[in-house]
Amino acid sequence: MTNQPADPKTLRAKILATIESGKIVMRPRWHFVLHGILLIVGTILAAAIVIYLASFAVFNLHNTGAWFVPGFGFRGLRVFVMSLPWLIILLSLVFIALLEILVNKYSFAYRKPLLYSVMGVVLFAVLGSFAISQTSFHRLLHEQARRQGLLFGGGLYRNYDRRLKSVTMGEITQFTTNQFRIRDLRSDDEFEVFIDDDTNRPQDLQISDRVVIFGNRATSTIHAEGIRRIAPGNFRPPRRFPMRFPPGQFEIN
Amino acid sequence: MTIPHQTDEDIAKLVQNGDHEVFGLIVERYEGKMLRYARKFLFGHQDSQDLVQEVFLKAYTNIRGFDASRKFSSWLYRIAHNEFINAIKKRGREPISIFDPDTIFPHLAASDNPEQDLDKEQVKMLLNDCLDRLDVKYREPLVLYYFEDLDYQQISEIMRIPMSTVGVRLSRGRQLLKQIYDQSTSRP
Repeated sequence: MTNQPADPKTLRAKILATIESGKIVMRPRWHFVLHGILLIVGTILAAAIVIYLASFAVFNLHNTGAWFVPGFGFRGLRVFVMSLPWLIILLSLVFIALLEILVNKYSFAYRKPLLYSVMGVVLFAVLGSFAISQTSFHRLLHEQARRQGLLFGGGLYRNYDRRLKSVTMGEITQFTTNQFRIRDLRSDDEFEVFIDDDTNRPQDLQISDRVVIFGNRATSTIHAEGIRRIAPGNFRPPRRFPMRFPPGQFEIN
Repeated sequence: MTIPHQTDEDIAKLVQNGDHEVFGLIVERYEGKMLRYARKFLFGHQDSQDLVQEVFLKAYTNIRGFDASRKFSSWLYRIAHNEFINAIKKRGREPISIFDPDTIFPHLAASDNPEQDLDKEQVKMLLNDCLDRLDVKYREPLVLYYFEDLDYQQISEIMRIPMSTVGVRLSRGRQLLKQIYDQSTSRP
């Protein structure tokens, strides 16, 4: 600091005069601390919403059986695309974009090419949703929502709790010629499943096998276009259905 | 240790603690640099002086947000960058894209060698002559590198772009300068 009287025309003098006049004031430290905290909280919140929405989409696909139908040829793929929860997927993408914007406020992200942070965010969403879909998180919330026991978000589970007309998940209870009976895992109803030479199916189906049947469902019959066995797991369908059937733990034979 | 010999970061700490008089020293130290940065980056802008004054006032207002463990100059240049970019946007003569493909993919750092074709003085001379014909996104890193003597990391911090992109822009900027120069000298 110099003790010489400042020339009022210099930039230094002008700035000090503005400061002394009180026209500008220094922002308090808490302003910046709050800004930092809000950024961290916002990032964590966006990350949590991304994982929640993405894992809900995976849960919903398992719950409706749509997850298994791409294996049933072009028609299966069409049903899969049509039954995707597009609004949830769109919302997930919006929050992924928001998360990417927030992450890029941090130096570790903006110092590297954008591709890295985008890949990191997408990988985080995929792994996070996969991890959550391995737990009973959404199933429990789903059950609560069915019993009207969720204070917040119950509508989401109820609105997406739908059945696909061409997909039925069940357990084989009885075999007869060119057909077998299944007990629907969602409704406990019994269905006659008709098969023919064109039905794409494993040859060694047995009683108690759990299967996904692709084909239009009528009142008590299904004309199967394709059948896939699902390996037993510990998934529990909604409470009124006694079967165990885990989202994310299906294996298709 | 007397104040004039203290580092920028030490002085910033004093200002943060309420000694606003020493902020004058910051102004003295950076006035010339900021004016040069403004004049080169915003060539032809009539209000460089006012913009630089605004930069210092914003720096004072936000100085408690400065982390004294980091480099003060990069922090101040970042404020100036924002102020100057806003001025260019306001002027509306040069388009500034929010999204730049250069920042998406990784680039090989080795692809850039600052002194490959032209020496520093040559580039500075060319840059002085051709500023008005260079795109904003090439002009700024060239100005920061050649006139402000900042390194890649500082430029990356100031412009908030990857370090590899700084290298790419410097390299392309120099190529453009050469092209502009060659075109202008080959004209009858």
